[in-house]
Parts: sequence; structure tokens; C-alpha cells
Amino acid sequence: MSDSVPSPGQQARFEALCGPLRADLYRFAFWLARDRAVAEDVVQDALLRAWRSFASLGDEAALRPWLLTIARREFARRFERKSLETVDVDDLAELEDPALAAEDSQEVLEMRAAIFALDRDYREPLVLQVLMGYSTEEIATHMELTPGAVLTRLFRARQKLKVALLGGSEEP
Amino acid sequence: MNCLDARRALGADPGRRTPELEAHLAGCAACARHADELLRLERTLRRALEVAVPAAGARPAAAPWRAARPRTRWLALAASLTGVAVLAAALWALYPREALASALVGHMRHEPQAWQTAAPVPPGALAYVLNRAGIALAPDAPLVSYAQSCWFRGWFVPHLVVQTPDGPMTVMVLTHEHVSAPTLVDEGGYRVLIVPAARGSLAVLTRGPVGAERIEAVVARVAAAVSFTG
Repeated sequence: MSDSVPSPGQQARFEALCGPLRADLYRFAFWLARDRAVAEDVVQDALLRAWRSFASLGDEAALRPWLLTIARREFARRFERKSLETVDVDDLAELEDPALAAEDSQEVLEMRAAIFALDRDYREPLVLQVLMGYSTEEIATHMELTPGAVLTRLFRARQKLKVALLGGSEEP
Repeated sequence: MNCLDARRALGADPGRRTPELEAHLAGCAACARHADELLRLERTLRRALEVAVPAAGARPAAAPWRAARPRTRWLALAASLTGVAVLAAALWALYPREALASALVGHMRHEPQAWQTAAPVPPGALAYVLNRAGIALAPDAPLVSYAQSCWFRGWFVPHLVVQTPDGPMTVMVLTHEHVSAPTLVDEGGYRVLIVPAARGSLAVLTRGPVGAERIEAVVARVAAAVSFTG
């Protein structure tokens, strides 16, 4: 498919299918990047890449995982192109727009800070499960892991969040 | 199942309750407390992950490292990016509310298993779905034979099937979907009634031509049984 002269029908189909998934795409990208500006860049580049290869999408039911996979690769490309500096978790939390966080309770803000602090290996499967409704098998496919490894990461992710919010130590 | 197995299963997915896990929780107070604690954390986790999504096209100031992007690449992408952004913005702003009924029917087609049982949902599983949405159901509500937390138009919503004298009916509690007046739609073999609720709206779907007044009666009963806790 050429992106230079899209037909009105192609545009309409792309809009109708991808538009409602923009929130999913943005939140996924945000939790990968932990940065709103990067997340918006990833979303835009992912949509552009999706548009260019839209013809290769056979099953419309597979659109959401297809888009999330594209976003994941876009994010990875950014890391390849540019070595992002390691940033402090507290600084990341401060990057949150106060206006956007104004309605959130202290408990939610503390949880958000704890999620920020998770390694991506733990953060990504958690986002896919809790926010995207992915099954263990779907996460395994998306992350190229075994289902057992996914379950272990999910368990450990929640352990770390629980310890961060409620104290105590991680269970074996 | 022992306590270690139970806690690993709960930690991996607090919402997934197998019969073995339910049996263990019924007989182990410590693990039951742990499960409750995880469910509470899960609600907070969900709310924390749901960061606000900026309107399409309303980009914040660029991060400093973005300034280093080669201008040629920007120029090459500008037209396409603008087009996609404008299209997405238009769609985001104008997505027709009238499509709600169609979206509900589309969602139902992806969960045909929802209709296949009349047995009550285990209390723990039902509580998880309701808690996740910040709602509670009074004991005199119709029997719930299916309960899932489903992703629907950008939100997780409770997808319930209740048993009624007219057969199973699907109930979706749509706290983020607002309608100004009751809407009855027949589409794809389903009859859909959407009514305003204390928060958002309630939708009830039936298969086949159930009388509107019968659906309204179920909606009224469910509406009276639902309370918002979150």
C-alpha cells in the first residue's frame, strides 16, 4: 500500500479501526517509555508505520496486538537510534503533568511511582495483562517468552509493588 | 493446591480463580486475606496504569533529545504524520455515540461463551469484576451466570450475563458512556437497550425479539441493584 495517495475508502477503514485504539496505544507506549513526549512520538510513528503496512493486516481482529507490536518495535528503534540517559525514578514521577494527575488519589500516585520503578521486564507484562487484558499466552507471544516465564514475571512484579506500597519482603 | 501454589497463582493473576484455587481460599483464611489484599492492590494498580490520554494532535513540548532528529526525516514524515494526526483527532472527537449499540453487538459476537451457562458465577470471581469497576451489586439482583472485566471502547467494563424469566440477558455497566435518553436498537439478531444511569449508562442485550417492556423491567431491576463504590 502506498501512503502517498491513499484512497478515501482506505483512509476511512484505517480511521475506523485504529482510531478507537489510540488510547490503548498511547498508554502502552507511555508505560514502555515512562515519558509522555516519547509516548506520543511512538504512537505517531507506530500509526504511520501501521498505515504503510496496513494492507498486510489480514485479520482485523488481530489489529490491536498488531499495533502494540509495532509500537513496541518503534520504541526499541528509538533506543537503538539514541542512547537515552538513565534517569532517576523520582525525576520521572515529577515529569507527570500535575494537571493530568490532579484527580488521582495519593494511593494511586504512590502506585504509579512504584510502577515507574519496576524494570521493563516486569512492567511490560503487567501493563499487557492489567491494561490490555492479554492472556498469559498472548503476553508470551508478544514478548517472545514462555508462558511460565510470563507468570513468574507477573508474580514478581506484583510482589515488588506490594512491598513498595505495603512494606514487608518479597515471598519466595 | 497448597498455600505456596495459591499465592503464586494469585500473584500472577489475582482475577483468575480456578476451582482448585477457590476451594483452597474457602478453607484457608490466611490465603483468603492475601487474596483480598491483592484485589485491593489490583484496583489501585489499574487506576494507576490508566494515565490520562492527551487529545490527538495536542502534543506537549518536545523532549530535548527529540530536537536532534534529522530535519530531513521530519520533512519526509511531516505530511503523513499530520494526516494521521488530523484523522485521528477527528475520529477521536467525532466518534459517533450512535455507534455504541453496534459496538456492544460487536463485542457480544466475540464472547459467545457468555451465554452458555446458567450456573451462578463464584462469589470471588464476581467480586473481582465488580471491584475492578468500582461497583457493587445488591443481593436481590438477578442471578449472574457470567462475569468478565472486558475492554470496551477504552475502558474495562463489567460484562455480566443475568438469568431472567425471558432467558439470559447481557448487562454492561458503562460508567464512561453517557446517553441522554433510553435507546432501543435491533441489530445483528440482538436487541439492545441503553439507558442513562447514575454514572454513565447501562446496556442490556438480548438475543431474539424479547419485548421492550420485559427488557426495561430487567434494566430497572439491575439499576436498582447497582451501587457505585469507587
